[in-house]
Amino acid sequence: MTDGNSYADKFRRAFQNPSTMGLAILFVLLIVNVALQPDFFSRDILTSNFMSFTPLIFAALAQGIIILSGSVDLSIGATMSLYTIVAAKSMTDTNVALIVAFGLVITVMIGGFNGLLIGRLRLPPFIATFATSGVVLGSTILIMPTPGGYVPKFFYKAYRQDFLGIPMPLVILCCGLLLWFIVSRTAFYRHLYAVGGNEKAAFASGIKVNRVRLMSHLFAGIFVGLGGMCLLMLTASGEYRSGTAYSMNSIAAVVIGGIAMSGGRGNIWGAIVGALILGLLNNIIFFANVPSFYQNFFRGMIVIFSLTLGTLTRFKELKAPV
Amino acid sequence: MPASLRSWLLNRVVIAYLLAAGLMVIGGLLVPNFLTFRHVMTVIQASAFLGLITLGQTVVIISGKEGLDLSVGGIFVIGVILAAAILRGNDANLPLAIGAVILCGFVLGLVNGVGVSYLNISPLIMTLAWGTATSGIALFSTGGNHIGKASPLLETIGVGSLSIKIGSPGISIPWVVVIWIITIVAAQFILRRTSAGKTLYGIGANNRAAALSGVRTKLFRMTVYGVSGIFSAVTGMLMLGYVGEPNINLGSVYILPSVVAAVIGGISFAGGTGSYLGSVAGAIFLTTLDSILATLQLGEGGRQVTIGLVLLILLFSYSRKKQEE
Repeated sequence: MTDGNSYADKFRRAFQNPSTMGLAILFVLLIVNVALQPDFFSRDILTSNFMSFTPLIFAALAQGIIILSGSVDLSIGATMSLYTIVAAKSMTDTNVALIVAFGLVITVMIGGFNGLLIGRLRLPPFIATFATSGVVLGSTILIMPTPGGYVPKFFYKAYRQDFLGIPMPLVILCCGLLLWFIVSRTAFYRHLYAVGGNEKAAFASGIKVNRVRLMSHLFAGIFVGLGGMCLLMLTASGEYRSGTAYSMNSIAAVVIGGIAMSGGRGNIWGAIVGALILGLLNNIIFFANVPSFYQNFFRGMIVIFSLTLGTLTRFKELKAPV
Repeated sequence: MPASLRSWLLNRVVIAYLLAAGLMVIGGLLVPNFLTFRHVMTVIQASAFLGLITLGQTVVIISGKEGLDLSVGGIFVIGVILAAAILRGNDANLPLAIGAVILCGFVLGLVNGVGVSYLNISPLIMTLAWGTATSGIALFSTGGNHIGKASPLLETIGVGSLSIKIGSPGISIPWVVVIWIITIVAAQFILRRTSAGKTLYGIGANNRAAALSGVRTKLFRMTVYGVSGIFSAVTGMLMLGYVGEPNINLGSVYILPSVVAAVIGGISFAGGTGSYLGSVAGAIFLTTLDSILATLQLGEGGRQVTIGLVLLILLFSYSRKKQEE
């Protein structure tokens, strides 16, 4: 039924692709946002939007890779907080590059630790990364209980400026995406889908399942670090609360973007679409003057609404009796 | 060691109780007067609230299909607020409040069930989003104000104790704990002895097999989420009796601990296994740990690190044990 090449079949396939619904929702939200904020496409507004969206986009990319491998990570938010705290605590005007790299090493190590727990020790990801999150967030609070630290002015100013005519957050994002583009040409990428889709079949066909899980967490650590760096440049200070919401928001973004929680299905670009949807949603809630009392309700309902629309594209699955 | 004793000691539920008891002893060594009957009862009273919410969490996880309920916090708060708004400090409104809270919890839980069962949305994200939405409902329905309060009878249940005369001073057991014990016995009976309980384990262990043997799995799973909603909302009402005045921030502290308590009690996310007795031990363990850390004044950072490390050690030792088998 889906192997024909007529336009009707092509249309049906596009409609059944889980990413399509995400793009459609993104498009609608974009129109609503432009209607509420007529100067949306002006230079300044676009830059400031990308400034606030980029940390979530990176968190969603990390979460997307992990969820594709059939795992999940609740410690992403705490790790991003840790990044901002460690960096703000140790930065001076002269050692910025060193500290940025050091922060990345830390986030990759935390990713590797999670990878060991899940890949090697085979602990349940949800609860194991929740435990890691407790340890990481606790350490963050111990290092710096109150917001503060020092972030050099030129460093956080750079985030608000252009590089070769392109807003800086977008440049950082493109570097990250280039990295992912390279990875998506490797065997690791195919193994990721194999392990997430059917662990036993992947194992039977000779894929080192444990190693792929470990690698997915380790690799996602790079994106968590980049997200933490953008968060640090956005807030220009270290605070243990600044990152905590990103764990759950990244999961929401990934699922809205059409990646299945069970793993192995969906496309990593969908995670970006999901993150943009959540970002635009925040914008709309702000510009539509939704009273603060109603904001949580709207956030939750719109996520449920998007997910419901997403499942409608899989109506055949819904009609299955079991 | 005889084989039967050895297998009994390796039972996850028994291990969970030994852990909870061991932690109590550690508390007794670290904190003076920790092991007095009064204080132990206070800890168990605090565990009861977590434990009752964990009952809902437990049945949802047993029902399988990556079952999870992260909306317990939101529905719990709605239970608190609805009960306070109906009671307004008057015992005469108690029957109405109980009915409304149960109905409301059930309906709010069913929304999760519809999403998970009929729309095939992953439980984690469905209940997470619905938890955000329900905490939003709690916020805008009150406008952030405290409307109403507990009635005298509910307050007696929340903070009072059942006194039993044994010997000269007698012992007193908090009413909340009495309610918890009754719930434990009832839950154990329903889960182990009734067809509903067997169906629950059946759909959790093998959904397809259950469906082919005539169980309406989608309807059943939806109802399970509704039941979890009832426990969250009713526990919220009990909590109102404990604190007296409604507060919107009461629920969020129970969301992930309810999952953790079930895991310590030996439940598996794959579904179809585990028992509520284990979750009870898990709830007592977590609350005892919290209580010890609070009296040691480690601060929020030290508390988080300790709980995380303890959890990692537990998970690690559980996984070792699984490999031995």
